[in-house]
Amino acid sequence: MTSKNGVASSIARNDVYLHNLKALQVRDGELAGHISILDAHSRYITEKTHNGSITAKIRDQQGTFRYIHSSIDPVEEAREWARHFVLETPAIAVLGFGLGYHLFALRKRSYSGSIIVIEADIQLFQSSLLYRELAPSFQDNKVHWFVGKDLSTLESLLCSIHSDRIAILPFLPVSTLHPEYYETTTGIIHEYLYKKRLLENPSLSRDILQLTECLQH
Amino acid sequence: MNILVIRLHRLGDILQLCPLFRGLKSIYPSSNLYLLTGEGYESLFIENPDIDHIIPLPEKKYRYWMKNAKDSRVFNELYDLIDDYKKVDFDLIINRQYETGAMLAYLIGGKQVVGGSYHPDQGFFFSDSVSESLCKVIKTDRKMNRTNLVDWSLRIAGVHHSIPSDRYLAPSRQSLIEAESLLGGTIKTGSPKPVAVQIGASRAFRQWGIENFALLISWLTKVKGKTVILIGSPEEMNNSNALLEKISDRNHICNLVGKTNLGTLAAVLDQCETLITGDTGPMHMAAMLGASVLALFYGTAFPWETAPYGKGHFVVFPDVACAPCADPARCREDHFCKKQITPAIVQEAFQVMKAKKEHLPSSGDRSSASLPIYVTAFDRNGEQTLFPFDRESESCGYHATKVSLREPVSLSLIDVNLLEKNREAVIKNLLSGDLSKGFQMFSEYIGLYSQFLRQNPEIYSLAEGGFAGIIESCSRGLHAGDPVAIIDALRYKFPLSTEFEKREGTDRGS
Repeated sequence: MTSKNGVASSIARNDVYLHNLKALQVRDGELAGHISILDAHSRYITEKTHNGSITAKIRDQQGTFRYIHSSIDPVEEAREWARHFVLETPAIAVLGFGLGYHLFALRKRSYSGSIIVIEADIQLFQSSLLYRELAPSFQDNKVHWFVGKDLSTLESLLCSIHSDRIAILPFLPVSTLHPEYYETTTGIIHEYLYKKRLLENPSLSRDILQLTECLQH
Repeated sequence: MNILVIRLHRLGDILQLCPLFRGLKSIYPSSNLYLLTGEGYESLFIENPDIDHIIPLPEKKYRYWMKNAKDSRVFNELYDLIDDYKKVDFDLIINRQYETGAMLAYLIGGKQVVGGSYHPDQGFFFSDSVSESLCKVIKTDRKMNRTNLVDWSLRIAGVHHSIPSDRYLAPSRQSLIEAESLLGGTIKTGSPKPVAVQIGASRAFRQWGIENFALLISWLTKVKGKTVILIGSPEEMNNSNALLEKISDRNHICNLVGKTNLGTLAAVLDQCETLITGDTGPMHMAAMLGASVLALFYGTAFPWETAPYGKGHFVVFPDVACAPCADPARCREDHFCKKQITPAIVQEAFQVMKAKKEHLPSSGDRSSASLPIYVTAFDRNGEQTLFPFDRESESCGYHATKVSLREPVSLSLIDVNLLEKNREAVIKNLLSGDLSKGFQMFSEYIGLYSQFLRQNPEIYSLAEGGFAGIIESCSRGLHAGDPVAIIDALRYKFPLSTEFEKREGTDRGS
């Protein structure tokens, strides 16, 4: 099953979408507002996978399709992605949300810290609202959403989380669609942590700066 | 007991620590041994039973980041690394990386730090007398030093009473398979092992010269009937090409310069009878593998410090008054020491080495009293020493124990575990690591898998559309830069057993 303009044809009668949007409205009214007025023509084409899940693909400039999740079993793919990480930091930043499979895989690993979900593409995020029950994640105060926003506002989100350690977990099939956005995101997170650590632990920070000098030579 | 050894870079210096790892494990068998080393070197030690944990530090990436104004990333990664390993609570840290290692040791923290320490109030200092002595010897009286750096490391760690072994390193199974593919039938079953020759060295003044090597290699192939394998880094390819141009008959020469990584280099050397080389990283690699080495020492190289470790290696060393050189760039003697080592002398050294190995009387004309050949051996304290070849006394040869990491593996059935391990690594990189590395590793996986299929025809028939079909679907994924297509293909299109279940839906045609 392939649905071109899937968003346009599905929104009006999609209960999952409406339920998700309602929950998002409570959590982030501005984002919900942006999504509700999006152009209905999505660049992403969704289709059913071999095991009955949904995947999405996008056509690149050469006209070749590129998938953002497995076309066979995206749940298993996400599980494999999540199992590689040691989830011991108080916060993690997931770069690239896609249709959200890997957020679910992370949550299944019973991670109890804060999760910052960063998605550059609001259209792709809108697609995820159509197929997955996201309301519990929107209601969870430990999951923070940063979708399609101006990166100059990311630091204030990071400040509100108060974590001195944030693991950055890219989901490459999605994050490589917008490399500059996610590269800048990574830089902002590092700058934030750097400043915070210098301020809170000046002695250790001074020694580490000296170590970086040593490594340079 | 948790022990951390720190050595970040320089292949030879890292390999020279192998006896230290063995010594630590023999003295503290239940310890957890960690090695903190530069990213890339860890591949050498993946299957080393002496090392329990490897901590790779991506120095090159950090330098690149610092050049590109990403200092905060370096700072944060180091901060996290230190935070992680502080928790290990090390009992002993052996620092062999001087200032940088000392800072790392101080920041990670250990009950005892040897080999160079750091404290913000004191700066860099030695907290143990052995390291202090080593520093003094190297700085003030280098020529008088008679202790190999391997033994210095063992002394620093207090494990110098451990018994030497004949083999400290073993190539991984995967490297052996890749090396077999590189050698492509160069080594025939039942025929004598080849001789490896390393023509380059990282610094120009350490290079013996293309003309010399051309004469030596021609002699090895024509007169001695040897197959010669040239090894070296990609930077040495021009030299190896120039060398080959000087040799008319190249039938028995296999040029692997620029074609090996650290793992496959070890696997290639493991197949060789002897390595002929200057004082290089591969020299230490061959020695740790238990292959015999014929080493040419001149310029700054000083065999008492860095001769190949083990018993029975040969070192050609013109012990001229100014050796070891402190400043070869300003040599006033026109590199007299290097010129002393002629191809004829190396040929003679090779002959006496071979004769000694086979317990035969030397066939060479040993009339030259000035022939500067030394043989490595162990003294009565189990430390390495050198004897001029003529005066070598069998009674002084402290015998190394025949404790091998693993006997050389006969090549080469590829098993499913190896393929699965590789597949996992490719997928991990494509999902969350380094995309270009993932694609590169995938290409290598294809090579391994094709060998696997050749060995398992019953599985070949399960591959959808045959192997060509698999490659075609993957090449579309590669062309589109689509990691998902490659991951799906790896998971569902490469049968690894006869129980493979065909899955549809991986066709990526547009």
